[in-house]
Amino acid sequence: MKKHHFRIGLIAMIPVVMFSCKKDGENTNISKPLTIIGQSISDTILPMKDASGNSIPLKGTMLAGKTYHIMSDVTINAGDTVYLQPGVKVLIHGDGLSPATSPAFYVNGTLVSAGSKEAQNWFTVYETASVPKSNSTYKDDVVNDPAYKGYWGGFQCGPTADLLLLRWTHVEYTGGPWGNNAADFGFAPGDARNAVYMNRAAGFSKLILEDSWFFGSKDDCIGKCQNTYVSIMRNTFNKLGGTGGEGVNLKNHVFGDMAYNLTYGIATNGLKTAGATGVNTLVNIYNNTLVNCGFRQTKATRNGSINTETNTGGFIYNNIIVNCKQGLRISYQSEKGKPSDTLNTSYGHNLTCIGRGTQMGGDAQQYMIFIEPNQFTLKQPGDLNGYTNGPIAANGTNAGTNNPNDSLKYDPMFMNYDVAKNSIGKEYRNSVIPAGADFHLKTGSPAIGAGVYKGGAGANAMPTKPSATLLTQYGFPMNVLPVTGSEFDPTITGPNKDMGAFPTDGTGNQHTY
Amino acid sequence: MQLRALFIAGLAFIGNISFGQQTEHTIKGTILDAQSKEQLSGATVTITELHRNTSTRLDGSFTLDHINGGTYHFQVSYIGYITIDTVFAVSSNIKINISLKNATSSLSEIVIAGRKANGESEVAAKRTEQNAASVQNIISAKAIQMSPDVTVGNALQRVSGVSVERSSSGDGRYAIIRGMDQRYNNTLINGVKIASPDNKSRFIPLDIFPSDLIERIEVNKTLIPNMEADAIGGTVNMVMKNAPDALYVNASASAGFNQNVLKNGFDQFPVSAINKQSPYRANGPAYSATPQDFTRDNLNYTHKSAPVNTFATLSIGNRFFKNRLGVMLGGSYQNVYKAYNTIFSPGEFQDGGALYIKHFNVRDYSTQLTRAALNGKLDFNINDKNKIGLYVIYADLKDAQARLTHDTLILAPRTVPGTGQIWQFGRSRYQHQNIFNTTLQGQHTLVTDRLKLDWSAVYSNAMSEIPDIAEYEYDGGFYTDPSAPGSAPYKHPDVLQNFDRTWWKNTDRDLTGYLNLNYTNATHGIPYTISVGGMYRDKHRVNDYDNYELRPVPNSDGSHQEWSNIYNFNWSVYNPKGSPGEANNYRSNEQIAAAYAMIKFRLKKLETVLGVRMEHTAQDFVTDVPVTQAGKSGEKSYKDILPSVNFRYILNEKTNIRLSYYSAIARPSYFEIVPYSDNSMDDFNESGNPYVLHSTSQNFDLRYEWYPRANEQVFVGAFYKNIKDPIEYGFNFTGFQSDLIYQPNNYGDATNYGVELVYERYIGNFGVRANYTYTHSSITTTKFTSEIKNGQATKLYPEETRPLQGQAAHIANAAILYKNNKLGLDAQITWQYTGKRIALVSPYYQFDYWQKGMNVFDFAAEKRIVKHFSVFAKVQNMLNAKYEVYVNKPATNSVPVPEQDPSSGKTLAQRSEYGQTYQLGVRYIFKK
Repeated sequence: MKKHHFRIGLIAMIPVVMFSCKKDGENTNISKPLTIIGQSISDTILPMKDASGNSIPLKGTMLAGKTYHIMSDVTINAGDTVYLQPGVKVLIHGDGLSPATSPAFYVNGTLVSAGSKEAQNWFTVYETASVPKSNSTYKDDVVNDPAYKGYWGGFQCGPTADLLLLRWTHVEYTGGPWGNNAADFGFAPGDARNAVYMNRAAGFSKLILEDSWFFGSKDDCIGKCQNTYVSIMRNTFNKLGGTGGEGVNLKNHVFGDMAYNLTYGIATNGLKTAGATGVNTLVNIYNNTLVNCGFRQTKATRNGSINTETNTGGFIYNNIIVNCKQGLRISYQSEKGKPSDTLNTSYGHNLTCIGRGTQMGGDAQQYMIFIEPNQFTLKQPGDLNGYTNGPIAANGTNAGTNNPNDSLKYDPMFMNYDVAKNSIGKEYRNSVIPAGADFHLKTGSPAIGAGVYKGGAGANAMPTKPSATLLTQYGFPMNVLPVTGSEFDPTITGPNKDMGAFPTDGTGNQHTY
Repeated sequence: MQLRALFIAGLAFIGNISFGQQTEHTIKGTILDAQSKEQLSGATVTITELHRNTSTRLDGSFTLDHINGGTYHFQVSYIGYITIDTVFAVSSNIKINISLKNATSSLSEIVIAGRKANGESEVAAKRTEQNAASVQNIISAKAIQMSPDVTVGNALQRVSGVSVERSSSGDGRYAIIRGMDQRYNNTLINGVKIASPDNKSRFIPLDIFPSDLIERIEVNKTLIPNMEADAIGGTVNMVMKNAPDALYVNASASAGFNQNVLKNGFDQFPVSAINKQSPYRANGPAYSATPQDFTRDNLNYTHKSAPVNTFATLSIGNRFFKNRLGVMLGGSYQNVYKAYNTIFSPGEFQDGGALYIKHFNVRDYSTQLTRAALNGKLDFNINDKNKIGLYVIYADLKDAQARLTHDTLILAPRTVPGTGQIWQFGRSRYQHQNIFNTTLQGQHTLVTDRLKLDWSAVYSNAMSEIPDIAEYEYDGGFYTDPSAPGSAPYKHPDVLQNFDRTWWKNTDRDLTGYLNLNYTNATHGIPYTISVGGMYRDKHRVNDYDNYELRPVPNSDGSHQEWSNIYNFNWSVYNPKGSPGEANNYRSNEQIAAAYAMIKFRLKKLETVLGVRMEHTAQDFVTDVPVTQAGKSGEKSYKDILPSVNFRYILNEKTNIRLSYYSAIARPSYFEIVPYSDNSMDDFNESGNPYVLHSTSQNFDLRYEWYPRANEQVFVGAFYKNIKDPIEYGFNFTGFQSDLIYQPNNYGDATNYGVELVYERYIGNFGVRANYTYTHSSITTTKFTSEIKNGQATKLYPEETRPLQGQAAHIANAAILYKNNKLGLDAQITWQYTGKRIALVSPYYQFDYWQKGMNVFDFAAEKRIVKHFSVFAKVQNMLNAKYEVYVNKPATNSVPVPEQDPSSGKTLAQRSEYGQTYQLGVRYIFKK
């Protein structure tokens, strides 16, 4: 870890209660040092302006307990760091009507939001009468739901950005079109702005998203990131993409893990990787739970859960997919993508449950299927779904069949989320996570003990694929980011013996709804 | 006022006058122009006493037979020439050549420099070619009028070594001279450069000019120092009609059809419904566009059955004030409906280098082209030593195009024909372009027979606007029911998609001054002319661009909105503030200062033009992108010293040998150096490249010219060009997002050489015109491909050698002409062949798009009906030639792709059929 990059200044010790682990009812509370990097940011109306009215780039530490107001675009210069102590609330004053009135963070250096379970951080809109927030009455209403208004511009990490780390942080109401500075980031004015975009011109930037909430975006949420090492773990992605867009959309030359995320009510895919020709991309996707994804996308053949295409690979295991447009897709040639890197792809032990195999809601296009035929995806050992593999063609695709009678047969039996009930009518389109929903697994769930994990034996043994040099080289979980216990490093949770983001042993995703 | 004087300028007996026995004799002969010795086709020869007459044929010859011996009055008349009345005694078969004198040249001693007597004629054109200092090819107005071509662009492809790049409607738009595309050529009107309405380049679209206002088109293939240097390939100079010697009226009206329009009808949208200004331009930067700001009528297509094409021209000229003032006015109007069908299935690149087809587009185009042009040319002789002239031209082209696309996605879920995803599109695109040019010129003799000065002051303005390009889209198709795989496919609802509305507008303004000084004298019996001069041009360009994205609003129950018609389409505006920060919003300037010195002298049979030209170029631009962005503004300047030498060795009166060397340049367009980006292209994004260098070239030409008779010519030529830093469009990787950006770039050096053959001959009523050009060019660039080794994909950048884009190895033209003056009938059939050539350079290795060789046959005929009136007919593209583009790689799709023949080893990427075009009209010509 290149800590010297962070130019650590004053380190103050402020006691914060920390529940580090639970074991046999024994509680240990140890205070953790509070970090300050550079100067404290005491002004709460940001950005500050110089004598001629120009915004001063932001650097330093945003202090615990403070609420900051962002009035216009904030830039973090190359080499500079902005650090948020736990318990910081950032309110962005934006209305989503134009790029100028929807401020964004332009990160050319480092931004670390070090929230904790007890002292969470917030990046959300400053609510007014004309800028209302969403609520649970907006179940399937893109037109009126404030979640899709794109009130502010998200985190746009430029070609020199080093690190974006969001831990126990809420990021809400992002998106909208790019303004005049779009070309600095490789876009054109008017293109869609993602909640998090990262693309380093040379080498790799680092994107660490942990235990955070991403709620409401107009387009892709974690969108089109490239040349980045990622660790995206234990997050909740909800109501992302209005009439298109993905929860996570990783592009070429990205290496890392996506695990223990819940994606719920995403326009297209919850989790997607799509690289480029001639460039390898490898992302492990495991132990995620995806519910109600893929139905707001207007293009008929985009997938709706987990999708890999154009030269991407990775280990894809232990995921639970419920009531999404389609299950896992390892794409051959799709309307948008080119073939996945099948050699460096290893997958299995995924559960796909569909509410109904027949047309839904009287809408001819709304079929739910386990696996889209004529792509690379096969029903693999350990998979739980109603797909029967067909003959494998010379190009590696297979034309199998989906058994419509297998509806609800693979219900993962969530602790408090009735899949059958949530399949009635158009409930599959409802993007509101029901209050009190619990996606942990009930006793008797077919997903319990059905995963691959370290120490697992037989069918549950960690998969290996000696012929795939990249898979072997990068590992499962991946080893691209250092894990030293430093707060600037990710906390990686390996695959669990149970499927899904909420395994019975209480590890994995810590969110409650 | 006309002098009825009788001149016998030349009279020659060639045949023997023998006293034979027969009582009936045959008289053969040829009628010539006294000055130029051009054979005059269509002159009337009358034997007054016998009331016998005939007209001369294409080669100026005539025959009168069964003439009893005796003495007769022969009257020879030809429009614009002084009638000859002479007496011959016929006592045997005789052969006579009679020369007629041009009516004007006898009237006054003033010979208007720069004007050719009866410059519209075919023979005058030949004469100019023969005497020109540089290597030239000329198409005369007569040839254009007689040809099937209605635009300059189409007429140009009759010139040897010239092929054309066609517009999307199939009309020739840009000239490719000896394989050098439009970037390497320049376009002049009356010898001066004009502004360009093109939104990306400095090219002049030649399809904007109706051919009937033009006296002749000169294609210069070599340069002399007094010509502008940005012509590596050559220059196209359109010489507008000059004032005639006496009252002259040429008017025509015609109508016609396009075969495809006749067959399939025409999809029309109301151009008047288009908002000419974007919401941003109309309401200012603070305005947020609302859904109501975007019109719908322009996306509502009405299917019409066969609208009629109409054409009208009028040229009228005369001289006044004792011929001191000459006036020529012209107007032209064309309203043409075209419909054509295209299939378009571009190749997609897959890791490892395989090609597959994703989209199979069937596109139906309906295009209405409205051309209007006005031309005025005045010359005024102040006195013997000073005269001034004023030329004004305004040309205007409106192009309203409807494009309905049916796009079948060849990939999954398509498993068999009849299933799969289908996208439907409707696009309306209206482009309005115009060019205005006004030139004031003066010619002054400062010292009689010694020193002359001429100057030109030019104001030129060009404009193009493409307001509100809009293409709606909906996604439907036929899918297999996953719950019943064996059942018949069900129709997927037509779900509306996001779409863009885009406005482009650009203006281009030139102010130019030219000054030339010519000193003529002789030393040691060697006549010479020394010329010095210069030019300065200030160019200013403004480019505006606005783009909005509209997104369908989901239904109230959350379901997707389906297509019913454009009026029910409920959309929201994604970016209500537009896109003002686009680099496409820019202003740029260019100042060119040039000076030259040259000497022309003749040493016995060797005429030499030797000299050097200097051109200094300064370009700058500023865009509306924020200051934080690289390339917001920029400046470039460079200077070129360009020597040239042209030798013409006059073997004899009929034969020239020419050898020339010149160096030339090609400038990047001001737009190309602006780091703009254009994401409106269908298949890729485009961007400018501020780092592109201007091209320089060394050119060598050798030509043998033989003029057996004035109306006949045989040319054999060869050329060689070495081009340093040619600018070619290609795809580049910008390092961002691995996206391919289509942009201009330098790709090392290129060579270009070839041979040209031109043959023309007239025998009696028949004539043959043919030319052939072989061109070889070569450039090596790096391409992109990838290989997969041990599961790791690796980018590779192999080199690929190819011809220059647009260059065909073989170009051939042939025309057979028939002229019967007795019947008043002219007819010609023409054949034009352009061999295979690269239509588009792909970024991918071995993925270039090649246009297949194309044969086009056209027909035209004109018949005199009564005095001054004639009818004419034109048929273009008689055999409905197909425009086909291939990639030399087979498609690897597992599901068969329509129209593909995998066994051919090639992939058909495009096929367009433009259909025949018919035109029938009447012409009125009056010459006093």
